[in-house]
Amino acid sequence: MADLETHEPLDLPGWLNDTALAKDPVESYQRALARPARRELWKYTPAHKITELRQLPAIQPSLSGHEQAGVTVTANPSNLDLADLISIQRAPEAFAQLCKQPLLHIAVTADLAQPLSLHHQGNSWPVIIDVAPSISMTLIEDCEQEDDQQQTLWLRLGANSAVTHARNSFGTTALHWQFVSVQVHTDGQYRLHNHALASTLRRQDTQIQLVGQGAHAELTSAVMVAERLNLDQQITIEHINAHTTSRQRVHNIVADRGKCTFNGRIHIHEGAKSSDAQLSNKNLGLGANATINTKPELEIYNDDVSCAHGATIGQLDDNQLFYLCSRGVAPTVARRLLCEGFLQQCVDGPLADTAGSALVAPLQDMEMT
Amino acid sequence: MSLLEVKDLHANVGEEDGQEILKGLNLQIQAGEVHAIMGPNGSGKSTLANVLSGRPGYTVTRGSLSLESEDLSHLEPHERAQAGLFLAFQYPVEIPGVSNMEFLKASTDSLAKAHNAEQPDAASFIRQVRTLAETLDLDPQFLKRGVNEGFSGGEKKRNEILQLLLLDPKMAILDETDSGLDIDALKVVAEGVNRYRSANNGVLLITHYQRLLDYIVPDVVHVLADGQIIQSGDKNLALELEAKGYTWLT
Repeated sequence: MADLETHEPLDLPGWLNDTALAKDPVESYQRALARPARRELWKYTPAHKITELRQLPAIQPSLSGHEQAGVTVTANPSNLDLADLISIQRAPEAFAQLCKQPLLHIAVTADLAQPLSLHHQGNSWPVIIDVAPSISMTLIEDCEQEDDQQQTLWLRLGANSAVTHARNSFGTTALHWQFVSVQVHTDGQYRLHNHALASTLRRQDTQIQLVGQGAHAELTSAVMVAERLNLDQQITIEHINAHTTSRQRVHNIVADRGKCTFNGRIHIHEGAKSSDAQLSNKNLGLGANATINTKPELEIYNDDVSCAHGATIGQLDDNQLFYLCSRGVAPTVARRLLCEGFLQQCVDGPLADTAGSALVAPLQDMEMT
Repeated sequence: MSLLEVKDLHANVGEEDGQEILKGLNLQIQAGEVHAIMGPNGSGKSTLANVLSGRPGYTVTRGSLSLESEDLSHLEPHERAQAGLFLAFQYPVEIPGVSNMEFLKASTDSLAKAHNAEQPDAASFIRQVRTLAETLDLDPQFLKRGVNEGFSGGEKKRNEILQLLLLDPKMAILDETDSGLDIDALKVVAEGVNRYRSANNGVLLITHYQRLLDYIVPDVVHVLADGQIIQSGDKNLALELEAKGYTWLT
């Protein structure tokens, strides 16, 4: 844990001077790094492996769909009001990245008929997307480069807006950090469809704040961890206002000698009356040396809530296996089918077609005995 | 040569030292015949179905079982299916995420591969399955859903019959396929089984009730008690059992 205490000094960017964030940011940053809760977040993945990615040169992600009416892209804006969006306390590492690199701001002020796509060609500039009230859009992210890289993304959803966010991450050799922070205002709806293979180390941080009444978040995630690879997924959904709802379904398959960590925290604030949160995490271990760490967490500060959370770690179901075999399907093929079916339950959204085949590709090379 | 021949079959639940359920069972089914096995709870009916299909968790300690003279006892479940054996499950298993159509194609392709036959092309296969589904009053939408996922009891049983008709095995074992069915579903299932019947295949019906045998008329009825067949007769035996119960035989 020694690496949790080490950090480089911050060079504060120009835009910070114009916001409330500028009040003692360095001190806030250092306090955030020292928080005991941070130890839990980095229990299974050395923080320095991620923070060192900050030293890599960053490039602007390639965009498509940004020429539609209602999309305004600004590189390195001089003044942005980010005080309510950026939290140094919640994510000091992401804040440091924001200070270090140039910034890409995207404002969306009209319904988008076509998806807005971010194609990461390596280590990317931080991206902030502001979605105006009552706007519907689809955001697509993919990254196929095998170089070490990181992406940090902040999304602010105006009242009544609806964003479907699909993300495919299929490189398997790189050290890769993906951070997304989402703020959903009154009656806004955010849906994240995450499909990922593990890599040398892939760390996915997802922080969702339901700040407006009636805000809703849904997260489906399918992850395949092949042999000797590693994926660490940290998800926090905060219900801050009343009548907010969230749904999470996360399915992970971990091959022999692979390692997968899932930490799903639901935080119901005092003001989040009549909130409803559900989280289900299922893990399938293939082989005696698969490592699976899972921790669904509930932190509730009012009585008027409905919450359900659960996590399972298991192996393939013998009854399902026998059923398939009783129809003539060889056990190796049957096991592969069952694994595909397990992941398929969480493959959804606009990238589902490409995700389904990429996620199961490692199964083709595995001995399914 | 019998289609299915079971000789002096002894089988335990679990390992060698597990509880003996089948205690010297003999059964011969010729091609073209339908046999029904009836018996009280705990007599070994479902164990027989499971042992024949090679379900893990059972051990054959003595005797033999063969299909067209091929010894089944050393074959894995998928190899028994490839040899021509089919078990319609009492409790068909749900497999979320694997669509019914995908499952049926995997089964068909596996059997074709085992017999060095050509695998059907996707378009004609889908047409064939849809037509079968319609004849069994199964909404074609079910084919897109996960295997048996969210199906009612009747739909699950009709799905078993769909597989029976599609895979066209030599020997079909129906393990209490009538349980949980209303009368309309029972008729549909029975019609499917009757459509499957031919001079080249055999059917073993395992059932508690005579009612199914009104619709699928058996050639032979057996009474299984305490792991052995204690009485065999024609369809009238089933009527007698319905009237008198099992106690007069045991």
